[in-house]
Amino acid sequence: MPDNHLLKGNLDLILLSILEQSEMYGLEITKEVQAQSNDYFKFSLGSLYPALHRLEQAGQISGEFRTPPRGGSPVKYYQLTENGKKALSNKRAEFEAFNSAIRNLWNAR
Amino acid sequence: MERTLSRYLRLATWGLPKKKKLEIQQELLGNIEILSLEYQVQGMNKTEALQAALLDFGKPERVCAGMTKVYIMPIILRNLGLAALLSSLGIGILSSSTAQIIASVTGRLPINTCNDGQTDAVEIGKAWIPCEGNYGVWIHLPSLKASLEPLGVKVTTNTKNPWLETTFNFPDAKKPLVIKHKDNQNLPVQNEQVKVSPGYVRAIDFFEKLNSIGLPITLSGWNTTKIGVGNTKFQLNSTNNTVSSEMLYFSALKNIFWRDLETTKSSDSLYTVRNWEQHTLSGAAYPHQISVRNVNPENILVIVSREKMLMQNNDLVTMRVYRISRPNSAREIQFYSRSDTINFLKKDFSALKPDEVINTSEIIVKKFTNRLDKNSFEIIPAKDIRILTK
Repeated sequence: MPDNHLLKGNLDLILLSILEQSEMYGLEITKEVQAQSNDYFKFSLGSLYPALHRLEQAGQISGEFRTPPRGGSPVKYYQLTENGKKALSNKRAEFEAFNSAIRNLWNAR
Repeated sequence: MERTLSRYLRLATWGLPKKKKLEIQQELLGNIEILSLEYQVQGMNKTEALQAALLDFGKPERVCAGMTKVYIMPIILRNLGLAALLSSLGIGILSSSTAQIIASVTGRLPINTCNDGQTDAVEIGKAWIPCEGNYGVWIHLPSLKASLEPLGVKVTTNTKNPWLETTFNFPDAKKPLVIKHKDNQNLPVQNEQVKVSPGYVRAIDFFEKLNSIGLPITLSGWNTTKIGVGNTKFQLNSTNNTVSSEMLYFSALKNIFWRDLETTKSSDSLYTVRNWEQHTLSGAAYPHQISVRNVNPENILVIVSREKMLMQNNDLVTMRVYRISRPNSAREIQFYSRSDTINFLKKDFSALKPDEVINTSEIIVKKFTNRLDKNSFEIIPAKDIRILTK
């Protein structure tokens, strides 16, 4: 598990990245993130939903209630908006620049 | 089982607007049902599966806190902006916490206390008057006396020269709090004011003396600050005016700087409390800060002498975090300032001549930044933060 601050600082990047692949509902997002990161990221569901709503308020994702394939109560599927795609692209570039700078520091030893 | 689920949904969306509440409840319900079904597939009965699912979702209060930040805080911010606007136009808004007032303290602004054009204001009904500069916050002693006596505080003044020396005996205090006007001689303006308007005490002097009487001091709230001195509690506002009490917080918080810059007293360091008092952030940023590492920032607990002081975290303001530490020190202070303060700091002060008077605050900032440069303090602007959580 990454440091909490590290995770929090990159939460938007993680969520936007996973939603870039396809639309998903909250529970599905946590599972996919966990699976694709080989259990490195494990979200608390309690903090996931506010984060999704924050991104939705910011216009980076949009949500729509639909009945899931297995039936039952409808769930809210989230997908990236155009703004979200731009935000993801910016965040990805920022992250890569940061990552690269840190690696340079290590390589300079 | 139904009751457990509906209670969870209710708690998770408490306080949200009705439409949003229903929407979020619906969303959570759908996801909880799916997770619960998965647990049933694994062999749990319905009740166990629901409990396990809710456990995975975490405390409903946490969801609620997160949603509140998303949906309620912006509304509050907008309203605060409106309130500030109305206030600046002279339109008072009745404090919603009026009913909780234990004792109101009213006062008036001594003539010429402020140097920014608000000079001749009198009887404006505020106990604490924030003015330009750090020293324009005064409390009206007769009002304070009238408020505290019904709470069991014995207040005496020198009969020959009323208010030149005032003694407050708080219940259970180890020693009395004595206010003498000669204590306030570090600024000429104060001496002048004492001559013209005896009966006022500088807020910071009053509070610092409170720290020495051997009772736990608590502060809570920002604009309608309640002060607890042992079991005696009073509030800093009149019925139709909220008041800002940044000086009280500042007075308490400076102890953090002694502690966390690894000095035990101001004389141990070039960076005395006096210096901290003088830089402009003391007025603009401290009130909204402050988190010291290893201290829970949600309800910031700071140590005031040997007592505890509770400062309610102000999470309504978008802030920047600065970290300050001594070179080679493992410890650091984080403090938060509003973006307008940051912009202020970004100005180019290098063009200033040494004695050029622009305004007091800017010169103070210049001195502050110079001090940082010359003495290798680190000042690191970090990302904007909106809220402090664990």
